[in-house]
Amino acid sequence: MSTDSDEASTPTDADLLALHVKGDPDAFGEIVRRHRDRLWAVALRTLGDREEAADAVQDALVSAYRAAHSFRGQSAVTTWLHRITVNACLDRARKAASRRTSPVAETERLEQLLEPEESAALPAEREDLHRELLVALRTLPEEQRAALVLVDMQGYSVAETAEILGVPTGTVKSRCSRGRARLLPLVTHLRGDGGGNNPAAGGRNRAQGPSVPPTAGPKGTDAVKGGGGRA
Amino acid sequence: MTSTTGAGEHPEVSEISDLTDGLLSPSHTADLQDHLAGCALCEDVRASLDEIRGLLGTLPGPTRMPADVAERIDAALAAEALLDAVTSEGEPLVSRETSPLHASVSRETSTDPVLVSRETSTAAAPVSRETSGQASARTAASAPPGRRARGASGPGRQTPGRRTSRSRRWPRVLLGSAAAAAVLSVGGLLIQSGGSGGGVQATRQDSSSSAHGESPSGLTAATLGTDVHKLLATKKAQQTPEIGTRSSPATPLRGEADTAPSCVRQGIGRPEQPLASTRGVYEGKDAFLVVLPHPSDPKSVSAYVVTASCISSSPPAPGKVLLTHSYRRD
Repeated sequence: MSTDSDEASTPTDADLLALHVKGDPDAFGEIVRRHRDRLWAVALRTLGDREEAADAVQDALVSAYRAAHSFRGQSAVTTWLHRITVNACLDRARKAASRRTSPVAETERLEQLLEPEESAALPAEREDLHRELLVALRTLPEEQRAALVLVDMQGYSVAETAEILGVPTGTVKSRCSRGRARLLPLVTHLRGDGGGNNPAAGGRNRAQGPSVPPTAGPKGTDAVKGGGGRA
Repeated sequence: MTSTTGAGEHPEVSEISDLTDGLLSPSHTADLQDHLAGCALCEDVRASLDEIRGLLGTLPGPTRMPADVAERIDAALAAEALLDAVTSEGEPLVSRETSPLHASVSRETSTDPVLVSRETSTAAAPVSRETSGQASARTAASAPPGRRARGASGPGRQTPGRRTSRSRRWPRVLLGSAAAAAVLSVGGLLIQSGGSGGGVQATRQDSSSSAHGESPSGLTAATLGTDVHKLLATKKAQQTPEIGTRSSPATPLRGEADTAPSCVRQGIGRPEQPLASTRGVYEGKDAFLVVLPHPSDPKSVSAYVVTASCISSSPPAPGKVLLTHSYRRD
């Protein structure tokens, strides 16, 4: 790919990966800059622990760096990176399951997950609800959690999530469905009045919540969010 | 096929959830919808499930990778790049026999700080991460060593075309310094493995079978101080894993690190984790040199020479302490 000359057009992820395989020292770094924020969000939410997430993303990117030559382009580069990252997270989650931490540490980690500056504006009850939801999320089997993180939290389409997780779309749907069903009893008690679940709020609203990013977003491969990375 | 939603029965929450996700057969779907239309309770469940989905989508969360994590990853990737350059020069520097060793150690070292951060202080981990990240940026090759070790035999290395083209991109000078850095880091790895995890086993056995001339195989009262300091100096070379070694729950691998046999430790009669230990010969007897923190003076350490014969004694008995002395830490 002749990118040296055409400054005007931004190279695609695939271009960059090809350059990296050819030995371009900067290409992989650019890919990382484009996608690291989203990979980070997925890892942090899947693992629920900052250091674990950092290790997972680092492991994932280093192995992607090494395995770049084996990328065949059946999927988007971003999907491939997500797959490696999610796998690294699931590996870690399974290992971490054996050494669960104390409730104190748990609280601490929740604080990491709810970035203070973003939750500052929210009413306290809402914050409590968020916290409760995150606690509940941690009790789910990893695979259900990963599916919910990708689909409900990060707004990836079911199809892309299926590709990332390497399972059929039906499996993604059912993991999400089972996951939500498991969360339900864990969070409902937080709602203002147990009985008044305000059917209107649910209504026929089959769609995802109001501010879920457009599901097609991440599919646009490039710089949806990661493009503006630091530096 | 047939639904559980007969007249009086409520469907499972998971069924309602499946309904929302379109996972049910058309007939089951129709049945459930009929039920929901007439059952406020189940309709409520459905609304709650929707709400959960909405909540998940609106949870505040990370939008940016934190700068320290990004730097760490950049450093790790830079180290990869350098290693690529170095190994492509003919990879004489990362020796075959060392890499499997770090590979086993790397798991440990990379997870240790995590444990520290959870169980002791939050400050500890980020700081140590930070410094190791910066160090690697600066010395150009010392990101977490174990990670690199895997690289030596990683799948990415196999493509000769890639290797040569990559090496051509590195200027000579840089290659030189990369090579130097790699030499340093291999040295670092050996030290590191001497202190953490399974690596200890290898190094220690080495030294007790006197493969290393400088290790204290011959212990005497006169030279004990030197041995202790040497032992501690080796340990000091890797702070982070050591913190992990001491303050985190023992994993099988780590449990054996720095730990003299239990009968030896019983002989000493102190519960703390030894700072360091090694095996040697004292007055013709097989013995362990074990270094512990001084009970009262934080600036000092206590050294114990304990007979190793207790290992094979039956009935089990605590090892006999042959010599005790305190030394200043330096």
